[in-house]
Amino acid sequence: MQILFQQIVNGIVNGGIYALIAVGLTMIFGILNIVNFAHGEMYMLGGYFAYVFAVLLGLPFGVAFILSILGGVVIGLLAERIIFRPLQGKAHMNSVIATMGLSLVLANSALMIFSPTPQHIPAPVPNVSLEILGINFSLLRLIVLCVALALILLLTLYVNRTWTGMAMRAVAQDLTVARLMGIQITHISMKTIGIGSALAAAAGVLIGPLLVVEPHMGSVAGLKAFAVVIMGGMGNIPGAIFAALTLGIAESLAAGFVGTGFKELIAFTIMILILLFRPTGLWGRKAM
Amino acid sequence: MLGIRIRSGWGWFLVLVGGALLPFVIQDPYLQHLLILCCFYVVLTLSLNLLVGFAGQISFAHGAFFGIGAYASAILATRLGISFWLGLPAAGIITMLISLLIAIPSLRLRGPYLAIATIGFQEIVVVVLSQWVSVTRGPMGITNIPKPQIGSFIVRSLPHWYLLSFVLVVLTVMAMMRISKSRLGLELMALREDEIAARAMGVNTVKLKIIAFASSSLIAGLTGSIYAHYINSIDPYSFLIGVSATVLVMVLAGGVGSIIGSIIGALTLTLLPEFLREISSAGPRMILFGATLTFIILFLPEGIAGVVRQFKERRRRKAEIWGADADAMRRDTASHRLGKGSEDA
Repeated sequence: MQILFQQIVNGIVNGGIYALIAVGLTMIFGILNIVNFAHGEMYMLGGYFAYVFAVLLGLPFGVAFILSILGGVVIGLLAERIIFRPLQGKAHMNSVIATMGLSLVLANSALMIFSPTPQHIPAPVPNVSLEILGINFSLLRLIVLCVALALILLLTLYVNRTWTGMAMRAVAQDLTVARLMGIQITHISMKTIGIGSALAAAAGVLIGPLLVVEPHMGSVAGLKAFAVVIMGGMGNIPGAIFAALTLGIAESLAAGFVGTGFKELIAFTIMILILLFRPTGLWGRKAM
Repeated sequence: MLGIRIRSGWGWFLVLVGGALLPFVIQDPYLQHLLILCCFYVVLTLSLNLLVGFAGQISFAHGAFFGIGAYASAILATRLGISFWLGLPAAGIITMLISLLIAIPSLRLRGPYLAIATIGFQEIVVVVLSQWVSVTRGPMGITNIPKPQIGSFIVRSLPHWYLLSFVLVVLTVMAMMRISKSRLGLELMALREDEIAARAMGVNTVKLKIIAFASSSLIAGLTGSIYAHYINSIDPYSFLIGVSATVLVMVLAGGVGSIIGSIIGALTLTLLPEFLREISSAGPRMILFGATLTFIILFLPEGIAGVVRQFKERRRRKAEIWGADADAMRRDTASHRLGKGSEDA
């Protein structure tokens, strides 16, 4: 029983990381109608930015965290200008293939610059764990989870409470009408991709001290984020958050009770099953 | 589709004999190895083009089907001692049956959803190959795959391997040409252009999609089987999504639905990285391929075949504008002499 809870707690932390990546992905799909296969690479880049700032340059972790997020935003905006903007309004297949190309370019550039050796980012907090009801919470994991949840909360407030957030929801509902209402689509596109990339990069920084940073982590994370987005319903932000936590817990339980190797199968199997039987996601209709 | 159309039987004969004699003209073993790789990529590209180009169904799982064929054949040969000549068709059929797993979902999925499902399938295959240790030997891979034997003759030397793969290329090209001119080919293209309209015209799109997936992966499986026996040892990491993306780049670079385009796309993108020494290792090559994918989508959505078509179109229009009859006549006679059709773009 204790092991079970321990696995669930670990799963929630992983789920928080998945949620950070998936929320941006589902926003980009819901608002801009672009399928972004390069989104996982923003997570990978976030990790490597943190490695450069915190390890190579020796900056404090907090500063490195913020600089890495800014780095992710810059790369995201560049990609928006060069690739996403020309693809606006084109068939989905175009964005699938073009962003797949971008993903290959980014992952292999990281491979050439940083070598395939996984890099570890030293944790900013001492390695202590708190025991509550017989379950171990490492302080680091607790902080990671809190930061992830705080960022997601900020995003939800931004989308639901601010003027720009309202404009984003308007674009998601109907691009043409939104444009008629005087919304600058280019600005919304830049903000959406900027925010999405920032969150993914933040996830990359947070995973650095927990696991390692390596060039191919982006493609797997990106695919899992897709699984999460599909579970939650394409374009549905709360759906993605719940789906991410569910997947995190399911994977963690599978790793604990079935075997670590096959845990990778869960995300993709669930994804294909949901595509087949509930294409609008576990929670029904598209709600953005 | 490129406008290169060989009309006479003699032209075909020359291409065939020329192709078959290549490894006896080129003596360098490294170049011969490259020629064999070219054959594999040409077949993979053609078979993916059947699915992507003709039927309009995107797939990021072609590398996985190639891998399933390779593993099926290797396991049959090393575990059960089955000869290559039985293992080859068996590998093709096994791959085809497994492809139905993804063909059936494809009946309900379109565009990006299908792309995502095929990526999921590709990842699942790699995980199974690397985790199901009792059958696939996991990350260690399968080594010492025996060479094919005919009587007491063992296919071992590079020119013989080339001939074997060249036969596969010729058969695939012939099959593709037949399909493209047949009713099946037309129906597939109707499906690509507009699924609902095709159905309204009485095309059985369910059957078509299954045929497209099954035959495309059958060919990929056969290629995988020959590849496994040629390369001698395989592991799960030879069949990652990078392979699927590479073959897709070749299809798109050549132009969707163009047979000659696929051949040129596969040859160019196999040979180009080898000759530019700086980009011959895996990382830079994938950067080049990734950039090519993005570039093609942004600037050349019709691939090389589309560029050539546009170029011809422009030249014809220019000739019309200037009323240059003499020029057009000279061009026509020249193209007849070369055995090219003048007006088919």
